[in-house]
Amino acid sequence: MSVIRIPAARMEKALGELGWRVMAPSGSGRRGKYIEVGAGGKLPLECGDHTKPSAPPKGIVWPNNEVLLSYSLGLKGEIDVKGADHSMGMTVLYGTPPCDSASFRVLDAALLKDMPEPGYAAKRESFGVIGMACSRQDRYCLCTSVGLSPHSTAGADLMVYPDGDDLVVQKLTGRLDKLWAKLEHGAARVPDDAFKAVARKFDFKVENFAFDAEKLAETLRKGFDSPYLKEFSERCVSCGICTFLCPTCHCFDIADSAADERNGRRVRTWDTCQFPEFTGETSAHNPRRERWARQRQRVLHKFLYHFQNHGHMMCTGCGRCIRYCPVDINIAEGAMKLGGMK
Amino acid sequence: MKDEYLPVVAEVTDIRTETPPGDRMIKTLRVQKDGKAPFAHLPGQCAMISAFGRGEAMISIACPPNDEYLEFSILLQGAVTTSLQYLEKGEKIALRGPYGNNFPVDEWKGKRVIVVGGGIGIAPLRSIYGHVVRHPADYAGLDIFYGARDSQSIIYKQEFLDLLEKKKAGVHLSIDRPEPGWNHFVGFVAANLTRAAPSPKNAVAITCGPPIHIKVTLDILKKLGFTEDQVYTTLERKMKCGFGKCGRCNIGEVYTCTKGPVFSLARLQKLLPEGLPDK
Repeated sequence: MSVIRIPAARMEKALGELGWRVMAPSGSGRRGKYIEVGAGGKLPLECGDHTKPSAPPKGIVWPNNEVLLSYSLGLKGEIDVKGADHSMGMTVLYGTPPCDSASFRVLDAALLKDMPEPGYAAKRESFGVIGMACSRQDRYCLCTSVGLSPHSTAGADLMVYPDGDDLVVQKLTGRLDKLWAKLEHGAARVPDDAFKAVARKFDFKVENFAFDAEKLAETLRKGFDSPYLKEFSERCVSCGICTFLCPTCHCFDIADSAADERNGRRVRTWDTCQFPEFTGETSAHNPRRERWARQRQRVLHKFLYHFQNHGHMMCTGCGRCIRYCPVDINIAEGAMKLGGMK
Repeated sequence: MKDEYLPVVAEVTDIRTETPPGDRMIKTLRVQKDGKAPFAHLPGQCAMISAFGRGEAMISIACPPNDEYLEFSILLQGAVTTSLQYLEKGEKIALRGPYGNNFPVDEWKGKRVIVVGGGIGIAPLRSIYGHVVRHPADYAGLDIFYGARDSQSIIYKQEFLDLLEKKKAGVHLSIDRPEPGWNHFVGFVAANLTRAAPSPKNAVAITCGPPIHIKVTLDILKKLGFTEDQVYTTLERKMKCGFGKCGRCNIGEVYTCTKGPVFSLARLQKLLPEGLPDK
């Protein structure tokens, strides 16, 4: 395993030399955002619930609005279609908590497998994640219930463990090798046992919701017709904020935005399974007409369907959907009850 | 890397008005690119058709596989499909595909094929019974059960009469209520199927139509002794991307656009019962 110890300032210097766009969390909740670290701006020194913005980082590679193509129609019925350029300058995320880093494992699985989604695939090519071990939880966190932890490395290319004035940096993929080469040059290697001692500092268990989602998946199928679903979604106002603020929710709509009768663009936008019309067919048949059916889709997509298709949970345990739900719907409680664990 | 969103621009080379103008008008479009099919397909697959300014809609391909053309029978009812009614012969159309899985026509060789269509549900079935008509030596026979609300709503009428006349298939047409001059069955497709009671011996049955049609047909086929491996259906779901990403068409963990729309009853019964005909 490649692990080095560097002074924190070296990371800033190396990133500055590379000229990459660096995005980092600027603060917690609605005050914070994943924003570009400008010249002279500081990289976060630690990470935890106190640095986690309300909006997740998915929008960097999966923007809310994205042009897919532009069209122009001729007077004699001709059609001219031009594809969109989805490329992006090299961008890295820095200091993401493990729950947000792990969202890219989910998005990669959902959007790149088999036939890749062109926009995401193009941006992902020039995007890397420098995750950071998390040192503070709050009452909505549930990473240790979904197969992750405050120091899990899923989705990260490099992992940073703050240790006094130093950073211990672990290489996980070859995606950021240019940065790694700069960091590694002359840096001290960290032996295995010393690395374990550093990682152990972040090895706390998040106790908010005591369940093991991977075991839960086995029983959730039986909860499909549970009468509890109606109770669970009774207060839901179908606002969809749980999905828009979710770091892994990626469902989308495609619509034409016409400039005039002959010209326009086809646009992909975020959408949500919580809107009643999401699955409405022209014939008026709608498999998820009721609120409980839509909430069921959200819970089971996170804890069952994605797990079955890709082998990991679609929930990363960030807790945003619980914290920001206007009517206090709690997906962890819902999943536990549906799976018969509570 | 292939940009999955980019459609092929092709030409509408023929338009047949199947049912008279009204709120359930059906038109069949023949689409070609430089005199050939815009892309190859297998029976049961679909394509995403563009009406620029309105959007896209997933439409089943209503012709058997061939090199010359694709055909789509479209019920003009939604935002995209109603705007397609203004297309004229010779105009361009944009489409992408093919999407989805297909009827296992090779597995079915040597068997009798029975299709049971209700309303516009006959369109996707035309890709399979048309294939059987083109390859009569490969199959032990063909029976087509098809019903619509009234005689005006019956599509492909002349084709069916030709099949009957040339003894290429058993064609069992029906309409819901009596009409003067109608000399086929009167009643629901289900009643017509019950009356004819086709034998399950060495046969496969495929059904498509409104959810209630599928539900009733599956029940009748079970009663006639068809096993769950002998019965197939093709399902409709709202779709936006067509390649397993947008999150609308899933039934449990299965995305209809990639792992469907064709399901054997055996597979259907293993799915979570979300919005399925029996729910």
